[in-house]
Amino acid sequence: MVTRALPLPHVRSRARQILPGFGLSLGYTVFYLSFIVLIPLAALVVKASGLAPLEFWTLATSPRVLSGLRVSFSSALVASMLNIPIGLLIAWVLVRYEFPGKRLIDALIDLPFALPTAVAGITLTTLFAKTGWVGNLLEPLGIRVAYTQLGIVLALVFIGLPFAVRSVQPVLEGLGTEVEEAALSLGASWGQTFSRVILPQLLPAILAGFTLAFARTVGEYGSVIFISGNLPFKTEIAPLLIVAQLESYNYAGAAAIAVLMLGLSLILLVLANLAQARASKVVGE
Amino acid sequence: MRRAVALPSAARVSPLKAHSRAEPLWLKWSLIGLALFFVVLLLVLPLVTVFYEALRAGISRYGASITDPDALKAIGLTLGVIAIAVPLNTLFGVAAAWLIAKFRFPGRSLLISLIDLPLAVSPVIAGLIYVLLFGRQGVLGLWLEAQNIKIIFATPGIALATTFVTFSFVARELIPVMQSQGREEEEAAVTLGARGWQVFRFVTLPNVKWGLLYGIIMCNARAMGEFGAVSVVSGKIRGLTATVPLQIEMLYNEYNTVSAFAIASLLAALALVTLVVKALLEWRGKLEAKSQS
Amino acid sequence: MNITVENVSKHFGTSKTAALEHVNLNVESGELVALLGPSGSGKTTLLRAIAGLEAPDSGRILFDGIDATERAPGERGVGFVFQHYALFKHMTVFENVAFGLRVRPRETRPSNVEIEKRVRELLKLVQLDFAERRHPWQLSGGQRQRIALARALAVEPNVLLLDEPFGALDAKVREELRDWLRRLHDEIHLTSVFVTHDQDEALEIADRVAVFNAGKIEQLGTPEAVYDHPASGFVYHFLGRSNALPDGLVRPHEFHVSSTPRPGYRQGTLKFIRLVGANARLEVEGEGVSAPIEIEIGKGQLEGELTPGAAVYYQPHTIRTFPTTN
Repeated sequence: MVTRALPLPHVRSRARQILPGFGLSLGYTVFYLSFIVLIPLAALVVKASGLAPLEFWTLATSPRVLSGLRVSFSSALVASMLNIPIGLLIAWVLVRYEFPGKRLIDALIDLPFALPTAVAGITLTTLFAKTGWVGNLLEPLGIRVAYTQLGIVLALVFIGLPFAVRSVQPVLEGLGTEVEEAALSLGASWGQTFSRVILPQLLPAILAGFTLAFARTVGEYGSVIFISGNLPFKTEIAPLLIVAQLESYNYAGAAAIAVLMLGLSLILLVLANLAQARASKVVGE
Repeated sequence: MRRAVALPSAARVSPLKAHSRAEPLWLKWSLIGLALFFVVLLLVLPLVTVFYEALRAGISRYGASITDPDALKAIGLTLGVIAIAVPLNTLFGVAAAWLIAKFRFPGRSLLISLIDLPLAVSPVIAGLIYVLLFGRQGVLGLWLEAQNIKIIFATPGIALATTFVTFSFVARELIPVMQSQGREEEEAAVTLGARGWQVFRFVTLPNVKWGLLYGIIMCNARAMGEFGAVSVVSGKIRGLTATVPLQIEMLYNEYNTVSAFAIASLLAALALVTLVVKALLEWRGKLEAKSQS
Repeated sequence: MNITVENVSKHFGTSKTAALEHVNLNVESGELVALLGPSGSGKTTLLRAIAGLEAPDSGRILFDGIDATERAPGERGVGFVFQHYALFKHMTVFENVAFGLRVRPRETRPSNVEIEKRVRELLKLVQLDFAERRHPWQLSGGQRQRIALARALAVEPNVLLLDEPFGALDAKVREELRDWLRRLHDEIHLTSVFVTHDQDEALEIADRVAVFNAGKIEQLGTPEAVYDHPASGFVYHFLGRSNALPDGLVRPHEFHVSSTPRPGYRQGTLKFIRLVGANARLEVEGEGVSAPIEIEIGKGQLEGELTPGAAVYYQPHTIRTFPTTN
């Protein structure tokens, strides 16, 4: 078919896609995302907004809810911060040094990722309980892990570890030794080289690892509820409060706590992403 | 001439010498030691504990625990849930990765954030949202009851919650892989006359197959072990809506730790298989990247 | 096949400047045309628009007078050779070349025997028949580019489009492949358009050269025409090194030089002199000239002893002026 009738200039309104499947993949992605994620999440917000503002406020500021949120967020924060040095250390050792068993350890780092959380939960509890292999070593020192907030932090360090290691590891691999050697050749000590040359370049990756670990651990449930002991006002985490509300058929209450939790963690994640973007800008990524 | 004099002194610090000025040996081995300490404490000991506790009461007790009818039913349910959630998320992951890696369009970055959204949602909340939607008191509850469709406290709810929790896994693995492939090979295929499906099937898929497999493996690992989301929607009816992790929880709470760990050891073994496959895939990927560069 | 580009414009995203601005171009059947210009001047965009890999915002592209603007790339009968080859990494050399035949709908797909025959012919044509079973990563850059060419030719295109085909290769391979491409073109007479930023490459092998600047074709003509009669200061600059004298532009080799004053010669100070092969390269600080003047003359044409720091006398024998030199 020849279409010569159109006068010049011949302006087309839509940009034609050269590769196939744009419409199909866009349609399916949006449909599936809406069905599985967006609509159900919207139902949550709708349900929570069914509460009168005063009701919502009373529930949100009830001592038990506040305590639950505090336990969840502070534990996730502490665990993710602890994971920064631990993750950096393990990534450093895996990238820079050769030693027997290195590849095995490298593969093992993802265990918390692959191991079901409930299994992690009962295992860590058994290991760190008073009678456990590690717990009975700590008992004489007066350190109790199981059924304390320390236990929650431990479980979350376990869960967050792969994020901390795997975020830093590839960047460290890509760094090479040239910049470091340049710094050393200019007379910097090893400590100076690490803190002034290497660390700044790793900062975006460290922050990314922190963010991922925090996002994953703040709502963690399975690995925590066994080791936490679930004592109200002490070791009761926010997700458990949601479950408790559900079990007493208070759906609006459960939705309210969930919205509160989601809102708080999204705010923190946005802040973390901003920090990460700034750090990336500094190293010019 | 001054520059010519300065040159040798600058060259005095040879790369070799710079290397010898790197961190001292004692520091290196302390770092390795400390790293090993954390690896053993956080990863090796828990792994050993699972199998030790499972086999503590002897092999026959172990066999009885894992062939218990309720345990077998739990295994069957978990397999069924995986068979729904993993293919769904794989299909989605492929579509989303193709869309995001190969096209530029308004709303693209928003879409990327939304795909990651489920990762920031507590599993308990993931379960809750389906209860609020499909539960008896939920938005569609009465209508579903009238149609005699049971989602919550039944397999569909468990599958949905698992799908939500593992939603992003395949897409997240595949997007960077597809992006790094660029568009040139696909464009070449298009100029050679390849049509829609052929471009994907013959050009894109062979290039991303390891990344795709990797994503599926990780999706599967999470799906078989999901606990929080499933525990909210399942109702934990033994032998009916209890998945393997829920079965473990119930046994553990009844102080039947040997049986709990026996079943847990199955999941731990699958986790180890996952790690081995993952390591092989990474090794294979690195090998290919090396040979093709 | 004849290609007509009619008033084609293209903007990318939020960029203020156009990648292509009302571009018109006619490529005659059997011609080899070079699109020459600095990076970002729109030459690659035009080539991709001809291939259908880029949709122009406005304007038309015609093959033998028939509007093909809306036609999909696979339906245009074009062979496209990418700068970085874009070979299918996971396929053997044979499968790469066979790809375009294998993906045809069953009715038009040649039999396996025919495909094999055709691929072997093409591999012989690009002198890589020994590499049939190898994978792209086992080949050198020049070999890969020849495979890419064979692959593009396998679908028997009416038009061959090459995007910086030698850009990723080192100098020697580049030159060899350049000559080879010209000979190949003389043999098969396929209408061809290739993009390059290398003026020597364009001037050496193209029948005609289109010089691009900021989304427009600044000049279109035979290599001799654009080199000898550049239409603008931009073209003049782009096709070779040049000096800006108060009265116009001069190429380095367009000077007479003397160590003693002569009628009509201008005075300057010799900053340095370097002998490069059979030529002498001089840098002269001229009176009333802001930038140092670059002069290149044959060793034999040096008159008298030239010493750096001393006075030198020079005379441009060809001066070009343009309405707006930029």
